[in-house]
Amino acid sequence: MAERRAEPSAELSARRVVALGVGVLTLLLAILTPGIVGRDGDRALPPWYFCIVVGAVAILVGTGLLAPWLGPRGLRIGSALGVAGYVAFIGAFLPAALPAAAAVGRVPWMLSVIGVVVGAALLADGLRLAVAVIVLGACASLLYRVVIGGLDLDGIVNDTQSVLSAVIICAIGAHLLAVSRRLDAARADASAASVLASAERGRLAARTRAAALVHDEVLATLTLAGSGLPVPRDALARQAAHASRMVTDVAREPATPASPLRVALARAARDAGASFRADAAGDAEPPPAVEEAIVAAARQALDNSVRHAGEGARREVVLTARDDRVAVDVRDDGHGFDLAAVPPDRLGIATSIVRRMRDVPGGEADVRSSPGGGARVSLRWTPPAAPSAPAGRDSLRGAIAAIVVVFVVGQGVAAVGAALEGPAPWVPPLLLAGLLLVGEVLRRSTPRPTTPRGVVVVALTVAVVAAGTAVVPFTFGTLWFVPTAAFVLVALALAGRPFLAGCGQVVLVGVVIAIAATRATPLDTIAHVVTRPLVMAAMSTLLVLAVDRMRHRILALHRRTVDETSRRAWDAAARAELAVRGAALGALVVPLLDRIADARPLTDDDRRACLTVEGQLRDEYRAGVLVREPLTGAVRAARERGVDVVLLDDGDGTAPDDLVDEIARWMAPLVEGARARVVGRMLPPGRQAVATVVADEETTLFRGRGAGVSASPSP
Amino acid sequence: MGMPGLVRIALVDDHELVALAVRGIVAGEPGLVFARYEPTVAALVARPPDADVVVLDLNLRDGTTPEQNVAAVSEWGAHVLVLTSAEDPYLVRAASRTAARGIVRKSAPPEALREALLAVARGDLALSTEWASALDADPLLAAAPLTDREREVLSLYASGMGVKQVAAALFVSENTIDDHLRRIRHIYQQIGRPAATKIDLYRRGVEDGYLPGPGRG
Repeated sequence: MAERRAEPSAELSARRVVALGVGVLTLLLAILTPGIVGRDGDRALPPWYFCIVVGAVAILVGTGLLAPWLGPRGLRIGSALGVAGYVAFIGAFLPAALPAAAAVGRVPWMLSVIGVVVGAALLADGLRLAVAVIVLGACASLLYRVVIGGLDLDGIVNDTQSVLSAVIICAIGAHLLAVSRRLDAARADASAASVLASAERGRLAARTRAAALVHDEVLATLTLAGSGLPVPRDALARQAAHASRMVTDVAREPATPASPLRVALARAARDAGASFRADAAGDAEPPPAVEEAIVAAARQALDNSVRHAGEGARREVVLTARDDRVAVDVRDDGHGFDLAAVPPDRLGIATSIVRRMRDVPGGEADVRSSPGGGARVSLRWTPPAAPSAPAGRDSLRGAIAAIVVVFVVGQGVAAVGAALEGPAPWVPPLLLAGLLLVGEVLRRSTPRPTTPRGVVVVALTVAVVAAGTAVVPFTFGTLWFVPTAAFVLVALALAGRPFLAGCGQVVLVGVVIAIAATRATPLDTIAHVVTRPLVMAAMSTLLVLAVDRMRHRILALHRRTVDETSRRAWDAAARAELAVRGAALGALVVPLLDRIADARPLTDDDRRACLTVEGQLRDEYRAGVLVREPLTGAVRAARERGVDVVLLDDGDGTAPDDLVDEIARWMAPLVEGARARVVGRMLPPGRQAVATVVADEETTLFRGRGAGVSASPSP
Repeated sequence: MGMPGLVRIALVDDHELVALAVRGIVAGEPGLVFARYEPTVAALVARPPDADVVVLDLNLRDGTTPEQNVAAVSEWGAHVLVLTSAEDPYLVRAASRTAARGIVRKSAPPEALREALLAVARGDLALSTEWASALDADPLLAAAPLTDREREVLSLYASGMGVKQVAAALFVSENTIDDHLRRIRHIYQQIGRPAATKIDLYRRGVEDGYLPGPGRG
């Protein structure tokens, strides 16, 4: 069932990348280490054990190579089988090796490779299984070394570093998967927001346009009626009637325009012969996907009711929208049924209704019914909490703490082991102290080391390794600090400098090989020493880069969501204002339009009333903060005397209220004194004057509180 | 020109009543003759040019924009005098960016419309207080290459003064003021207009008086 819904692609891609990495690494290890570890002792192991090993390797490699074509379930199954193979590989070793313990000699190296399987465990079941695999691998390895042999410096160094590698892979892998899930969530949010925004914009634009035409109609009618121009009376009456109808229609529209949800539910109810009631106090408009789910679920519920409620049952659909929540109830008073008695495989309700609602984020549904008591299906939707801001590297902090603990304890043990081995017991603790010091430098440069600081970290690390390599004997165990130093550089990559860290790893390995070459070290020892640093470096760099890329995309998507959400808020505010003004407009102009429409000759009083109301509407557009007493009274009086009054507010709305009051008091008598034309204007900010009045030929400036008034403009 | 000395006036408006009103005004002017009324610009330009000045409603309901309409009429070969019913600065600014020779509000007294018609018929500009005020308060103009004197002229004109009063206040000739206004209009036409859908929509909202625009508290 889960497969039918396509899993979000970023997470699927991340899972495929992890599976591929696991497969390729397993293949490399299998090729590089023939048999199990290519030593004579391994031949003492029974053939059936080799079958287990080959099987486990084949599963991990196969899953990895097929990953690009596998779905989420295929990846999970393949990885789970791989983990099972690993557990069998670990668990069967004791029975396989015990009969020939002496011949086996020591625990094969490959037995301690945990890191690879950790990736598979993450894919199979997540972090918990991965941690369990690490614990199992570490414990089994220690146990076998005690029982079979190999509890020496090489063994201890190898195991502690193997555990450390596994912990690091586990942390980065889990982080990668978490980030990919966030990317998918952000992507879904962004696309839902954009669909919603464009739908709303379309609706609003259409409505706003309609309202603009109404205004146009009203203003044109009032102007003509008031102007006294020779216009045929009957034509004017027709136009007034038309304008009045348009205003009434706009004012009658509900405050919230019919949402697609409401329309679709009403239609579904009608189709099923049910009554429909909407109680929408809020402005809830769920995203289209949710709308679709609600309508489909409601249709299914109605369908059920029609089929099972019996003859004559009454059906009702009730939509309730409050704040942002939406609830839809589909009820009938029919036969009802016993929910417990419906066989699970025939639960059309449960699969179609409940499942459908639960599949959308924030959706919920339940079905209630009893024999004889009717049936009631409740669908609810609450907007899911806003997506949290991407947590960045913060979510890595816990993982880094775990890595630090495993590092200090594990490498401490390795250093002690190396010190006991000799020949110079003071060298290993010194080397560890040096590397811990580098780690401290790194820790102090959070959140992201600067380039100079990163270079210092690389240089110090290489210096410690060079110094150590120059003085200790050249064996896998005594060179424990080379992989340890590589881990420090992995930390540098995790801290946000993957390129610098990668370059550092190359230099580190180069230095080790150069020094080894001068001391005629066997090639296989060199290979053993440098393999882990190289693998860890490549993997951590790639994973960190992948995570970084995803985080950037998440940020971009979040920005888009915020943008769309703010547009939506703007649209909603516009719509609310539209509704309120529609009603106010109706109250103001409809009586006057009806008077013009009744075809009786217009009196001078009617004409003046038209001009006054037309001016009032005009002021609502243009006079802004100036619309206040006593100015409005003076303006009305002047218009009734036939004066052409123009009020302009070109301020930016920041003028304090008491200042505007003062301006209105100052402007009122000037308007009262005008004979034919007067223009009152609030000036844009930053001008010499705050307001001006030009009455007939006379210009007066208002320069500000207490600054007085001057009767002529001075340049 | 058609008959010598006569300027032919056509009207494009949604309301036939406005045509009757304009016809009345034109009839009272000896130099003017009414040519034609059409509800859309498309209908007007479908026929060969038969008008010298076209009075154009800025807000036609056939879905056309002021920019398209002014451009079509200009190409057809006539000067445009724009009529606006709302005094919305956004609409006035949109019209000011076109080649229209003048902008008059429908609610202005009939004499104002008559004077504007005569000015455009003469080949002059018919600029108004509303035009100046919309430009003067436009943030876009703040960055435009206007001289201090031009800004001053615009500001005074926007306060409601006529050309004569502005000239008197600045101690210069009326011709000088006319030159300033012409240059201001030209520069404003050059300013690139933002045409994103969002801005258009916003303009629409403000035009309607339903959204706070500049000048509304």
